[in-house]
Formats: sequence, structure tokens, C-alpha cells
Amino acid sequence: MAAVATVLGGACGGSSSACIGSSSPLCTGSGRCVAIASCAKESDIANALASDADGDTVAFAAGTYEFNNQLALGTGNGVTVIGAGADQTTLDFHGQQAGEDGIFAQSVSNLTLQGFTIKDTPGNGVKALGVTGISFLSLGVTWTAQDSTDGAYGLYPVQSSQVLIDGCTISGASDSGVYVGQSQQIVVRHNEVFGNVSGIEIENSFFADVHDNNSHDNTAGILVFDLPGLQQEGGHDVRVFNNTIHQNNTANFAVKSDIVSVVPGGTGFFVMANHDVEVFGNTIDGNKTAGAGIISYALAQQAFTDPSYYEWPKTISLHDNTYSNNGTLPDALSQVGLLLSTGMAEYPDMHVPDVLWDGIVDPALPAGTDPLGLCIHEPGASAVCNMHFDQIDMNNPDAGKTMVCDPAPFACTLPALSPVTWAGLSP
Amino acid sequence: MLRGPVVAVVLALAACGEQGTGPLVPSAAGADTGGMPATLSAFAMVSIQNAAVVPNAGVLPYDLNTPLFSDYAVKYRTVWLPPGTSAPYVADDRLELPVGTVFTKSFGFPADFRVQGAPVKWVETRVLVHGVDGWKGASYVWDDAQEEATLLAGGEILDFSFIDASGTTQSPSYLVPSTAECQKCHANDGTMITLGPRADQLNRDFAYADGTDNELARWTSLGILSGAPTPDQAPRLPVFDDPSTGDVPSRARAYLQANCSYCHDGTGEARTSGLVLLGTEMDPYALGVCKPPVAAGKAAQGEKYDIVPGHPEQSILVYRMTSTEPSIAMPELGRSLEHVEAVALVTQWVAAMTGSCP
Repeated sequence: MAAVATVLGGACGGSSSACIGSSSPLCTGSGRCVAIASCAKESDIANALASDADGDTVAFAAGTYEFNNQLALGTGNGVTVIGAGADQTTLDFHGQQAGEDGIFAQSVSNLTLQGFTIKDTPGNGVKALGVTGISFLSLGVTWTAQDSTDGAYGLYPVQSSQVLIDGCTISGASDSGVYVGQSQQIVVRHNEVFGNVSGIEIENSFFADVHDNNSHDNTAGILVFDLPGLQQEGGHDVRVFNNTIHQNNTANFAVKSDIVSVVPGGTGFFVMANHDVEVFGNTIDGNKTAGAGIISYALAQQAFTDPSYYEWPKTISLHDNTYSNNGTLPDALSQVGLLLSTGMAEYPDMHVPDVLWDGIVDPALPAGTDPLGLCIHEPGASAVCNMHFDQIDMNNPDAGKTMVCDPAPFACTLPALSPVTWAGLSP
Repeated sequence: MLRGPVVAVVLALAACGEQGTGPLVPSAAGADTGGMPATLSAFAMVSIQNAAVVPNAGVLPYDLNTPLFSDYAVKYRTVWLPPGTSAPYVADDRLELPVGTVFTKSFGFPADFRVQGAPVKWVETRVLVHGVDGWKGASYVWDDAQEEATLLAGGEILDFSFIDASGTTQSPSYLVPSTAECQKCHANDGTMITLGPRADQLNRDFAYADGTDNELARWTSLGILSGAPTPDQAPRLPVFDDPSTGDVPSRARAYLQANCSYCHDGTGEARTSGLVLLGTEMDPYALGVCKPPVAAGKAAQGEKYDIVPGHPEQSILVYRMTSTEPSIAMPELGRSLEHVEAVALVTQWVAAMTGSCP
């Protein structure tokens, strides 16, 4: 009992604090300003965020703030949480004892998180569920360990819309640095992501522009996925353009059974399932397993029972990307990488072709040279190959023997997808 | 701003809440559009006397058949409805209680759970008020003297120790939730809701000061519940640790219903996972059988499915119930200790399932 009493005595300290004021140069909006200095108590900071009112700005002065509980935002709309810069303000969650996410927000609108670094959360850096209008601007998310003990996602908007991720730096996520799930109207631009399993992942999402990002030294650079069993399925209208996808050769450190754990190290870009995806103007270089792939969920070899799920990619356009030095040494620790490595001797120039399609076709579609409507115009690629994984003899696999490298079947063009925009999105 | 009957209720309550010379009268303080009051006594619902939570006159205590686990805390629950109001009976969902309703739930720990009747040190009392603009919640932390509890809107993690029923010293990282964390469990697609007060949870006996009675029957006789059938005609949730109330599957499902389904119901916070743990869920895949995790990250621990029939040791659901690691533990909030008895029950349930996964 004495132990309880002592602690409770400490828990009832005053809620007002000289370390929480009402003005800060970081507050530029017209709403209330909650100015937090690094001497503020955790429960007072948590209170400021939990009790946020419409239009509030919560401003963290430069410094390091340590938390042992997650920071959950309240019900205010149009709230801004801002720091003095990703290199100035650090929210450190290494001692976190409750909650899976560093910062959590749900069901609000027009939330902005800007200018601070989130460090060492046990789970995700920021999770935003069901938010309409969420901007992640100039944030850092990082983990010290850079291994499988790191949290899954750096920035994790899910079932949200009007999602902007701009100018953030994310490293060490044991699943994906940027993970946008089951969302709509998404712009991911000008971010640097490295040392994650996947740099950027757009999953089960509609209307996304992913451009001008630098995704390097992850296990995989940029992934566009669609998975079964979720409330929003059939990812579509995703544009991936003008990104640098460079040397994503970090060994896969995701926990086995996590869907990204099947991704070979050395992967540049691939799209799995989805329809209407346009990939252009990217620089894809030095990814040792493969540059770009178009695959079916069947390749992930996971069972599913969802009748509404469509497991094949359809109407995918790859054009005018730049490729160099990809596919030189496939990751043999992964099943797909191992399979690819069997054909090295037969590949053009002795390296895995830059553009791969797994050759797995929806059997319900009429037969043809290009039943899925894959249009590939890649003069800069070493080769464009149908790997015919549908025909491979798994008892005696040789990916080089089944592949057909010929761009002719894919010599079609698809209309360019429209840019993603919404009222209030800055160009 | 306030209209209709709501005005009358709120104004009456505001007047009642004032501390005069007479006894305190319960009040739905905070039911208006303003904030929650700074102290628990403003509600005049409960006080602590001789280490026991005591309800004020007109405030009714109740228990649930299978409650939420909160680090083995002892809990004392009360309900109060504005005079003259009642809730219509709902057979298979949460009760819809009128504006002005106040629930309290007090959390405490005896120093040693092996000692019968040991005094309880009360840590916090959580309040849910049905305000004019919806339910709102807050936690009040008790002072050392157990005389007053003070609003702690930002929440806090408290470290202390107690000796559990088996004689083991337990040291939880006990979470007093922030008001935003209240929503983590109580907000369903953006709307705050109540969780425990359902007919099947209340269909049980309670030892009232004037004798033992079924809770549904007592609520009916007090006029706060209308249209309820006799208890034998109402649903009854099994008591997870009382084998006389149901077989292993039904008690395991009752536990998951009470402890998981507030998020895992298809519309709550875990809707993005596709895992539905409502007691009424009939689709084995939605319930986790041979269902791969979606965004579990390291919590999947290398296993492929939430539930593998016959193999609790391969089932992510059992693993996450067992773990106390913040990024792995389920429920996500409010459990820093393993609920050993519940894990044993769910383990038994999964072990007895037949079938296999691909």
C-alpha cells in the first residue's frame, strides 16, 4: 500500500506549468497557441494534445521530450502540432510503456504535424486513422536499433483522405518508412527514406501521387500493394514518378510472416495487384535483385478466402524510367530472389532483366498476348521479360528457361492518369 | 444552444451540484458543452469511506458478467440517471441511456489479493457523462488520503506493486488514460460510446444493501430500464472464469467480446485489421482462424495466422494476449500484466479447435 500511496501523491501535481505558455514564434495560425518548453511534464503535454480545440497550434520548442505513454490527440479539427525543426525538436519514446504508436489521431479533420523528429517508438511513429486532411511536413522518424525490434511503420495514415507526406526523413522502420493504407487522395513527395524494410508503401489505396522522393538503402524502394481481407480493396490510380530508387540492398529485417518479409533485399520498385498504376521518370539504379516488377498476389504464396479480392495487376503503365546496375546479385535468402538467381546465366548481360512481369494471368480473362493490359515502354531498360512463373517447374526451377524477353506484347499505351489534388493542396 | 428537454435536465443538474448545507445530490456535471469538472466530488456520485467506494443516495452500483481486465484492478461501477428518465431495453447491443446519465468506474488494489477483505487503495475513478453533445469521459486520480479525486486529463502511468492471488508480486505500469485515450476504446468511428452496460452483461445477481437481486430486475423496478423481459428471457453473457456459466468456447468468446470487440467489431479502431472478435461473429476467418495479420509488424512474431486450430502456440491472437510488450500486447491500452487465467482459457479454446490452415 505504501508504494501506491507514494506514487499517487506524485500523480496529483498541479496541471498548470510555467513550461506551458500561450505564445511561440512557431504559432502562426489564428487559433489558440499552446507553447511547450522542454521542461514541461509529460502529463501536461499529453493534456494539451488530448484537450485540443479546433484551430489550436501546439508548439514544441527546440529540445528533447521524453515520453512513457503514447501521445493521443483529442477531437479538435484544424489542429497543428509543430516543432522547431526535425533537427531541433525530438519526441523520444524509448521508454514508452503504453500504446503502440508514438502519436495517435483518429476521426478528426485537417491535422498538420510539422517540424519534429519522433524517435524509438515501440510501434509506429505516427498513426492517423480515419482522418480527413492530414499533412506530415518536414518530420523525422527514426529508430536507434535499426533492426527487427524497431516499430513497423514510420508514418502510418490509414483509412484517411487528403494525405500529404512532404519533406520527411524516415529510417529504420521494420516494415515500411511511409505506409499509406486503405486511404484516398494521397501525395507523397520530397521525402528521404532509407534503412527501412520498405521505403514507401502504398497499400489498398486510391488516387496517390508518389513523386520526387529519394528512397535508398532500404530492402525495397517503393511498393504499391493490394491485399485481401480489408475494408478498402482494389487499389488504383497510383502514379509513381520522378523518384530516385537507389541501392535498396539492405537485408530484409522484417519479422517473418509480415507480408513485406517475403520481399527480396535489392528490390527497386514493384506493384502487386492494383489497377491503373503509372510509373514513369524514375531513376532506378543499383538494386541488386531487380529494378521493377509487376506481380500478382499469387507470388506472395499466401492463402486467402476473400471473394471480392482481385489478385492480378491490371492496366499498369511503365514508361520512360531510367535503369542502371540492377539485378546483379539477387537476394537468395528470399524465395523470389532465389528463383531469379537460378537464371543468371541465361539473362541478357548476365543480370536480372530490369523490368519483370511474373506472367501469372487471371484465368477468367480471354487469352491474348497481353490479357492484363500491361503497357511497358522502357527504352532504358536492359530487357522487359515475362518470367512465366506460372510455368516454372518448382522441383527444378530455372527462371532463365521459362522467361520470354520481348517488349512487343506490351507495346500499348494507356492514357496518362490525372494528377492528384484537392482544395488547399499546395503545388 | 440547448433546446427542449435537455435544457431542463441540464439546468436542474447544475443547480443540484452545488454544495449547500444538505447532502450532496448527484449531478451530471460536465453534461453541458463545457469541460469536465476539476474534481470528482462535483458529480457527487461516490466517495471513499473506510477503503470502500460508497455510492451516494440514488446512485446504483452494478457488476458485469465478464468485465474488462485492467491489470487485476478491483473495480466498483455505478450508474445514475437523471430523475424521471429511463433507458429502453435492448436485447443484443449496448443500452441507449438518456442525456444526463453518469457512469463511474473506480479502480483500486489491495496490497495482497490473498487477504480476504483487505483494504483497497483506490487509484482512480473514471467517469462517463452523457452530455448534450455526446458521451465524454475523464479520469480522476485519488489523493493519498482517499478524500478527493482530481481530473487528470493528460493521463499518467503509475508504477506500484501488489501481491496477486498466487502470492506473486506484480508491478504493473498502470495506465490512467488521458481523455484522448478514453476514445481509443470508447470511440467507435468517431463517436464516444459506452461499453459494459449491455443486457447480457447486466443479467446477473448483485448483492445490494437491501438484499441480492438480478441487475436487470433491479434496474427495472427502479424505473431506469423499461421494457426488459424477465431475466430468464434475457441474454446472459457467460462469466469467463465460472465454468457453470458456459463451456470453454462460449466463455472464451465472452472474454474476447468484453476485452477485444470494442475495437475489433468492424467499425472500431481495429477495423483496418479485418479481425472481428464480437461474440456474434460467425465467420471463422473474420474471427482469426487461418487469417494472416495485416499490419501487425513484429507482433506477428513469425507466425502466419491469428488463430491456428489446435495450435495456440502458433496463434498470434494468443501471443498478443500473453505479451506485455507495448507494441505487441493486446488490448493495446490498459493491460501491462498478463491476464493468466484468460490466456489459459483462450489457449484451451484454440487447442480444442479442429481443422488446419494452409
